[in-house]
Amino acid sequence: MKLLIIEDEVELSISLVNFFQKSGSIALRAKNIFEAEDHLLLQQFDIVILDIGLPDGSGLGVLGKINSSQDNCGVLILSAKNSLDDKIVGLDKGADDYLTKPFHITELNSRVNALLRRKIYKGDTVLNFEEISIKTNENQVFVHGDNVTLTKKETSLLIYFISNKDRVLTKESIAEHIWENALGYCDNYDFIYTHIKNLRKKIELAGGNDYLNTIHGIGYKYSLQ
Amino acid sequence: MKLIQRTNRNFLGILLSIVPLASIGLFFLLNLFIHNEVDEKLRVDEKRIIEQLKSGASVKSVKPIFEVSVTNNSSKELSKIRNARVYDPIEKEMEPFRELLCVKKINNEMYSIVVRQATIEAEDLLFVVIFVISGVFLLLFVVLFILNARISKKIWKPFQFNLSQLHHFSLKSGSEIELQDASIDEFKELNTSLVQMTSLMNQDYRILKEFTENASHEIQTPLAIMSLNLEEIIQEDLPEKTLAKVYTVFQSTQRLSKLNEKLLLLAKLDNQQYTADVLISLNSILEKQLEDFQPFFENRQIIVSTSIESSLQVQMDSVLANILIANLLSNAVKYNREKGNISLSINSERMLISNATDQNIDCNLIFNRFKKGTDTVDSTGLGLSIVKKISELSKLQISASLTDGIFQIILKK
Repeated sequence: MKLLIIEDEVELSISLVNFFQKSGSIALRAKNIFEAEDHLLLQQFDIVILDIGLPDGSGLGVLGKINSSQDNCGVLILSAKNSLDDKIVGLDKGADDYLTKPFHITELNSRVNALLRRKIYKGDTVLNFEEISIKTNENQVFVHGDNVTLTKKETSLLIYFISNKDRVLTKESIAEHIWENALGYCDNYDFIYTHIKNLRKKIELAGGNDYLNTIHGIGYKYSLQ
Repeated sequence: MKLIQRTNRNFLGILLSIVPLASIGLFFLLNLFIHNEVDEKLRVDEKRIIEQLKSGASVKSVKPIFEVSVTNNSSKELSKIRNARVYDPIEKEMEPFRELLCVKKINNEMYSIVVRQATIEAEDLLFVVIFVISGVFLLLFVVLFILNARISKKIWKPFQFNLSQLHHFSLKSGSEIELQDASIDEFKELNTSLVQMTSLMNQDYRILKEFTENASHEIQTPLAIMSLNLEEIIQEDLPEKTLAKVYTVFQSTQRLSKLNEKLLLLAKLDNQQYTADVLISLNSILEKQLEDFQPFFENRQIIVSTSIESSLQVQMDSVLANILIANLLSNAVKYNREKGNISLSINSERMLISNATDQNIDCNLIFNRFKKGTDTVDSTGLGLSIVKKISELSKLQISASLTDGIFQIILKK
């Protein structure tokens, strides 16, 4: 996957670039509209991560450039402003998704992957992990080829785990993924145990292995070991 | 005491001390003046009589106005004026007279001439003087009193109006104060100062509010960087103790960023940035939020009972409506007891949410910022301030009460 990260906070964009490069993607960064347009004119990207507040203007202005220069590219807007207006305008002008700062990088990764499946692979991809496969566009989960009935939240959780496999996922990030409400009203994350318990039970009942390792006091890690 | 009462009272006091003084002064002045006039006349009369006598004509006495007689027991000429009481045969009583006594040698005869002029009795004069002065001053006072009351009512009208404007002035509304123009210089000056002062206050208040919002914005990015990098560090193969410490730091940044988000929301509410008011049914929002909160209820085994009588329609911003309900539910979960209960009741006039609690909550303080239940560490203490602020903006009345371990919040239209 080839990414362009348009973000004026250098520290933040370096962290993002490092993260995506680690998972084998090519990630470039631009710290203003000027640099972004340079990159966009010269190369094709799969995904653009776009910050709204840029030093030389609103990131929303780059949306037109992306549409005219890129053949098929998913755009995810990042914004420090938790403003509904930005969200509506952004999505209206051709952005595909919207994430508010501060965010968990695993959430961003999960969204980027979902966007990639939807935009680039036209939604007909199957997400595989060992004996588990998920038809993401139909929200169907299969273990050893047999359909397992999961709730919407459980499916979303499983996609999140597989998209971020081999990573320690803090319970905070999991809670925020399940519960999208922008303001975390409850600062108690215990409720995620119920979801995880149910998910584990259903997968095991269908003959699947439990790949979800508990990292004591911190969260979980979805991996083979 | 009103200003007009005060001036009237002073005025009256001055009058009461001036009337006797003026009366006495006037009495003596009049007395002196009248005597001078009378004396002058007496002398003229004396001269006329002497002229008559010199020309050889006989002059008859007219008592008590004048008496002319030939006298031989005095050889010395004299002329003096004095007060005297003389019997008036017409009035038949003793009357006060001013009399000129003159002894003069005319045509070799010594004449004694007495010329008199009736004068007013001193008591009478004094009485008249006091009567007139008091009357004049009283009339003056009454007229001034009435005029003053009328004029001052008119003059103070803009002042009274401006005063009531000041009473209703609130920095929170952000509107400039509107004062009525006055024609009095002092009032004009006051108005100018007030307008300047309030506009400065408004400006300072706005800057302060904007500062909160800007500060929250600026804090957001470093927090994001911190939390991103901490999440990366957690991925590394660290000794358990180090990992636990890093995780604690990570949790703190999460908490900080939640707190910051809420402060930002409050700042935005203060700055009235949510104005997309539409007619919203709180019932449907409650329904959706209850679904979202299900895991929280299950986790703490809280039983939720709802009683929906009719739909509560409120004119408000939909984002705020969601935040309002979510905060109320979150609060009801947070301060509930394990295996407790939440009861919700809604009709077209009000929404009521109550929960069992073990905490001793001071209902007067809970809507203040950073007031929180002592037992719950994982709380920012801003939830109910946000609730209060949103209700204010949406013109809902909010009240809280605690009775027998049941905490209840009522939102009224």
